[in-house]
Amino acid sequence: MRARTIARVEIMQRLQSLVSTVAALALFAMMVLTFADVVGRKLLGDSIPGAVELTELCMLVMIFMALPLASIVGEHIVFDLLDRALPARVLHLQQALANLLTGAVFGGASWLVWLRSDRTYEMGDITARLSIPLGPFHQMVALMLMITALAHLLMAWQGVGRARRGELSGPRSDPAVGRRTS
Amino acid sequence: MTEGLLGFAAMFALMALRVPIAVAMGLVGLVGFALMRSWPAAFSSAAGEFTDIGAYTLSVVPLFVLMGNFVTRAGMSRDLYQAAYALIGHRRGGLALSTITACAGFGAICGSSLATTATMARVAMPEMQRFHYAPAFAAGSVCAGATLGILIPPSVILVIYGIMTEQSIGALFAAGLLPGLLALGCYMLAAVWVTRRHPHYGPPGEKADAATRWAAMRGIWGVLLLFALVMGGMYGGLFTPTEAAGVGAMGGFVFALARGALTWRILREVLVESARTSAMLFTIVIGASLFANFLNFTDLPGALKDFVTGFGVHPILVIVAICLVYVVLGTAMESLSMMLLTVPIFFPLVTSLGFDPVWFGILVVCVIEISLITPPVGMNIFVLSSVMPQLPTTTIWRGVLPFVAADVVRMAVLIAFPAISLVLPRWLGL
Repeated sequence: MRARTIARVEIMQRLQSLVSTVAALALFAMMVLTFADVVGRKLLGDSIPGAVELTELCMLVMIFMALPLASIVGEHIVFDLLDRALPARVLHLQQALANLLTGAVFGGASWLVWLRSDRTYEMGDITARLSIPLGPFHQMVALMLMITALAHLLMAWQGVGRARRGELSGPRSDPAVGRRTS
Repeated sequence: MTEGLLGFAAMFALMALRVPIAVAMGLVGLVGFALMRSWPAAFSSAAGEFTDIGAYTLSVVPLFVLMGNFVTRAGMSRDLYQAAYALIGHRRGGLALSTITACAGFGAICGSSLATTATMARVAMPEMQRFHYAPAFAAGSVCAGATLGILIPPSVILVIYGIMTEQSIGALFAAGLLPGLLALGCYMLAAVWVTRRHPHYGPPGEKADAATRWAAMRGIWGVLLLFALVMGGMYGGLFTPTEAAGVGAMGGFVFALARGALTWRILREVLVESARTSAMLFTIVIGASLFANFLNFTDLPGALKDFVTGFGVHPILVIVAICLVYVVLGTAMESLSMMLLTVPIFFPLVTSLGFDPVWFGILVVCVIEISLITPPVGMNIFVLSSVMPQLPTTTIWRGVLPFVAADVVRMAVLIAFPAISLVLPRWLGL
């Protein structure tokens, strides 16, 4: 049992590290592409062919690879004013319920995007300049949304466990994590 | 009308359950839209929101977030503080004035008022403690100063407002500059006023000689260059906001690299952190646009307009009332979600009364700044007390009060003189 838990943790870490690397590379590529395109156009009088659509595809990859990471870290903005008023056990259950619902919503979104990707394949949608097929990208979005959904369901499961064990430390987040924009 | 109100009620119920606000907005928006139109239409538009989020104009968001994170890691906060200190530190309350100025400069590039609070607190608070500043006054100047950056462009929150309301991001950035400087001026006056009444709150620092000043200014030329490049390029019509963001992110990368702040591990961390923040922001954008789609099908915005015009009051009073609603909401709500929740309702009302949408955007960001420092839910106050655990929260509350007063004055000036916001975008032809 224990060995299996360790193996599971290791798989999770590998998966996390993989999507982190892909997200990081995609963002870096966006930056370099945008910069090179500007320099090319303003200074050399020539833009990179298809820079705009490459940037768009990179952004799609970056956002949805990072989505499960944002969920795991607790980056999503929640209304947590009630946290102080509730006892830890109730808080864990509330957290579990919220994660269950959030997981269901992301799961539903994954299904909708998957249906959309079928249509994208059928129509043979491609980008305007470089003729890159969009189907695989839409499938990637659906897949990552499903992984995000599973992450929330896992967190819901953990919340139930914490409530049952009666852990006292609530799932309070550090105010400095997330909400980096405000 | 009823549908719209029910939608809001459902969303608040979900939020109270601790469901992420983006998810609550998206779910209510989807279900509401489906009930008013049809399920296939709702499903199709929801799927489209996800696949179309990679639109080129939206790439301005992750790139500006990335620029801010690079610059934060480059550790320029200390240099900025020292430069401000060398110039004005010897005046009465000079360290507080330096703190506010450095916060404004750092926040403008960094774009996150919470990151500015956390960073500047570590730099400025020990200095002010060394000169025996009153803890409340010192804390207040950090918390308040850190709000300035989200108005002074480039500002991610203005970008999000621009995306939601389909306003030109360039125009919003141009409009934010003068009000940002006005806010800086108001805070400086508030600090001067406090130290005039209580001179022992903020004794003067040491006077720097010319050589020290010169050295301190040399320490920040990189940041100034980056800011000038990004903003100058945009105002000068050389770059679109997206291009400016790309250039800025690259500049931030080079800047961090040149200062030896980047290892492979840190580079990866910065990139992943920025990607995560962007993913969170885009989830909100998706949720908010689903919710706004639904609201457009209810007659809630129209009903609100009829209700307001039924009073027959002067339109400017409507703006004042909206600002008051924001300030009250802002005491209890997180700022970004407050904006996303209310803009779909208030924006049609404000534009139908004939007000300029860009000017309203500036007002919204100003009230968000206020909400960051008003108790009980002032995020900057939370961040400061998590960085400085020995400081009682009530002390910080007391310290921000003069600055909140300065904010009220600033709001009044901005409402009375829309030209302060609009002269620059008009002059630049944006």
